[in-house]
Amino acid sequence: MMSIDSTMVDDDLSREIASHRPFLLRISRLQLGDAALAEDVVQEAILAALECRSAFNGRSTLRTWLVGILKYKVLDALRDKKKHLPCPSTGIHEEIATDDFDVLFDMQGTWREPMSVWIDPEAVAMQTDFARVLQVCLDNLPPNTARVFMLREFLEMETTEICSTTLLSSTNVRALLYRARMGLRACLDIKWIQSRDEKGGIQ
Amino acid sequence: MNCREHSKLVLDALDHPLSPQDQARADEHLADCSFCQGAYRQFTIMQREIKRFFSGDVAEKEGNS
Ligand SMILES: [Zn+2]
Repeated sequence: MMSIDSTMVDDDLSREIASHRPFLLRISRLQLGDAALAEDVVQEAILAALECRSAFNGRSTLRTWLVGILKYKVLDALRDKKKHLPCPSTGIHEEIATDDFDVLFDMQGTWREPMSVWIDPEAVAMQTDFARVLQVCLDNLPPNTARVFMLREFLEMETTEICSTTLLSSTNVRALLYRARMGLRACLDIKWIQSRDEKGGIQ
Repeated sequence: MNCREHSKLVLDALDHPLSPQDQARADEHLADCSFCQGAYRQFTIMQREIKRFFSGDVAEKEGNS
């Protein structure tokens, strides 16, 4: 495989493209659930970006442009590799059971605890901090849950498309999306507040 | 409608529009429930930042991932 860093990087834009590799890889891994495949797909996306870097017009950020290219490459990989889709043998039934969130509610189905108030990350610097926490929480999701969630939020598929892509019923897709979002909320609730406390709180 | 059902509807609404009946039931619960108002605020921030993250529209200080 060609090494991007030594042979292809011949100008500042190319170098900058390569610098987004860790982010692209993280997304690719979450979506595909297969480290080697994720690596290949990111490699393809970066090579494609380098090849047509003159087409980057600066109207979006470089990262947004790269994410767009990655989406196409990931979709191609999903079409090619049906075997990499979530399947019943990989613990998906455990993931679909959402009972573990029931502890958050009492017998009447009322939240047991009042919600904490999150500091809204309106400033750009804070958005970066939030993104870092979000990455950790995404990595904590069970693999099939993460992949279905990514089909929805990264590839922006409609739920009907997710059903036909994964061969899961709409009830199960709904359950996995619920689980992903409830899990992310609970994780962010701990980690975002922690992260703000570490920053000193008074800002 | 209780809080658990409300959380399901609020999150479902991110994927498809709720029926007018469900929307009305959810609104009615939300108006009276401070817990769900708090949850709704969290989900709103979360969803907005998830969109931002996946569109690549977050500046990142590289080297600390
Ligand atoms: Zn409530």
